[in-house]
Amino acid sequence: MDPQASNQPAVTQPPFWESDLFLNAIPIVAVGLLVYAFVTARKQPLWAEAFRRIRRNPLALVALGVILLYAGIALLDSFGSTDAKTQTRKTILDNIFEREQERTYSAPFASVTTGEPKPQKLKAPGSHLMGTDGVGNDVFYRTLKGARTAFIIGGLTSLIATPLALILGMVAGFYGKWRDDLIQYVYTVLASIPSILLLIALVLVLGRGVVQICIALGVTRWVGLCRLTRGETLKHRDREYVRAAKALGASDFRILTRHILPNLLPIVIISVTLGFSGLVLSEAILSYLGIGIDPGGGIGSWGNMINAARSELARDPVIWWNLTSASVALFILVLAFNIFGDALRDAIDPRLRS
Amino acid sequence: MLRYIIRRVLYAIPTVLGVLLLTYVLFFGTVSRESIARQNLSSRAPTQEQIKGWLKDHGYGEPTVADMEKDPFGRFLLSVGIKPKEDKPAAPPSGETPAAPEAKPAVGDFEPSFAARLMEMKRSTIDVLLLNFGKSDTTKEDIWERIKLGIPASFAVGTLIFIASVITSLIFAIINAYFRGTYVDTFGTFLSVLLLSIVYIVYVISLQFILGKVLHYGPIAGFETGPGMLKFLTLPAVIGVISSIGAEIRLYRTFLLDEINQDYVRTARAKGVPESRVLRLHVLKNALIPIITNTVAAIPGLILGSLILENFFGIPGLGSYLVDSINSQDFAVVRAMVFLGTLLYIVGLILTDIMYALVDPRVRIE
Repeated sequence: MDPQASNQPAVTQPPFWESDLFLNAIPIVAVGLLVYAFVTARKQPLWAEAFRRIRRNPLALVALGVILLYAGIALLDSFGSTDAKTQTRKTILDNIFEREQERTYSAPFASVTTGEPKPQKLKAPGSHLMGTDGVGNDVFYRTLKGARTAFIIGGLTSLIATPLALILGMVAGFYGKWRDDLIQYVYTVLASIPSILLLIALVLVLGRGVVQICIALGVTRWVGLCRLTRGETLKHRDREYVRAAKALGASDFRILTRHILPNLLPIVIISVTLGFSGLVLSEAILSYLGIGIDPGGGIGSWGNMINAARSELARDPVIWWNLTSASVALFILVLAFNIFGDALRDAIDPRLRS
Repeated sequence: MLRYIIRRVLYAIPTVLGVLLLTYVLFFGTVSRESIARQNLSSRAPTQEQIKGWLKDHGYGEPTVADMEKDPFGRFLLSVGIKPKEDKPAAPPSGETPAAPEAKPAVGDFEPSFAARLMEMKRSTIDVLLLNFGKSDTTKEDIWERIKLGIPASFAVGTLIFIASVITSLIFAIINAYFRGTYVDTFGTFLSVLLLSIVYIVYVISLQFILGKVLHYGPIAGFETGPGMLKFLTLPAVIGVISSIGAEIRLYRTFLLDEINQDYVRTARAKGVPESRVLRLHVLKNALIPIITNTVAAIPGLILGSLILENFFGIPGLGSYLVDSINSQDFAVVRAMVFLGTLLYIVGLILTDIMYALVDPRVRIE
């Protein structure tokens, strides 16, 4: 896109990636791909067996239900339309849960404000399930808005890091020699910088947008998976089935994508699921360090809410609802991902099956 | 053994050089010099001379041909035809009227030439390797002097948390392993998943509130050196331990269970050795190998302390220094800290490998 064009105020057409069509299409495509992957996987014995094992594990089913609930909230916050007059985009979630903005803090279900010498009457008394924050935004609504950001951070980062790790790991493991040395050198250098320091450096340089944070997280995250992929490829390279394929004249590309890749998928999926919770937590840590998602952008962020609550506990009366709401929402999602990830690993990993 | 250590240290050299190159490109290749200078100069509309002076003062200036002649690397660059930019004479000030806005200098006017970049890269590599980090972008103080000031406090916090959390998690992991397969174990494992799922800052904020404000357990924040230090350290240490044991208990439990399922343990039980003695003498001794190798890597990094805890409790260590530098976008300090952290981490990894080779003779044969 021409940088000059976006600066002209006369242009009313937003760029394509901000248009309703594009923003509404992305979640449909994402959900469609996931459903397609699930339906395809169910036909294969390994995955069918894994799904059977998960179905027999009530704790994993509860965790999956929680994840789906959060995903549903995130989806509600993804579909929307832009008001032609005000040029602001309202999602379905906004239409259902957005409340009137109050003056300042108010307790859950309260009818007057808190923290002022003379409590004022609220505009919408009793409607704020989790109270309001310092500038009068509804805390419950802001908490719900955080779900979409969490899924974007986790999903986009995995989407950046996983292909990078897979391709480099398979090339290093399959070809060996100088390719292996080069790739190993690159990831040894990256891995020898403590990940929080590398993350800080990258975000400081790249900027504080959601995409930039995902890129930075992706750069710090791909190394572990790449190492794993390289090791597994190395193991499979000399197996008989790969040699047989080679003897039949299959190309390297075909061997890598049709024979080795399907064997790597289980460990990739396990590591992505288990890594998801760490990514969601990283967002909160970055916000605390002052390099998380820009709070001015109107993007929901549990990290920013928790960070804003730092001084609120010291107030009198104690403002607890902002911190509680955001951290409980974050805690439940991360816990669900941890439990589900563990269950998935137990279900897929053949070494644990006896 | 000595040969193994020397080889391991030599292997680390290309990695360190790679890290130096990476941090250089990250911090000084992507951000324009002019914006760094403008951000840190006090006047709102600095003149060309002020910017130039600031850059020179902080070691970002353009070298002259004479400067390069003095240096062997510079002479080499000149001989292959890489020359620095000519210093243009300053614009004549007479033609300007105070009302007219100053003509904007062309973008890239302050960008270093290729020769300057190479010279700077070479100089900064050697300087950083000698721990000569130069001056802070914002406060002008010497970075290494400031780092030395912060080390004692950070080391105190880091060591206390490290020792306390290793001991606590080991005890809980042994309890879990002793009661493996029972409700105690299930409950313990679930509890550590719970602990693991809470974000660090929530621990810090809420535990400071509960322990400090509600239970009045120690001062809420602050620091002092000497014996009085301990009372300021208890609260951060308790929080540091609670927030880190979730992951450690799980890890140590796996190590213990790996050993419990070994043949020699079964043999010991078959001989009639009581379970507590099996755990203490046979299992724990062998499980300590992975546990020690896993924790040794963290020891050199202890002097970096804890980023979030120090900042939150006002402990004047390296963690708070780094957070302050992030907030003021002080690239020189952040780069120095990233490099120092990496160096310590690499030392930790080397120590781990050496420890491993010491306890496991099979490693050396490779």
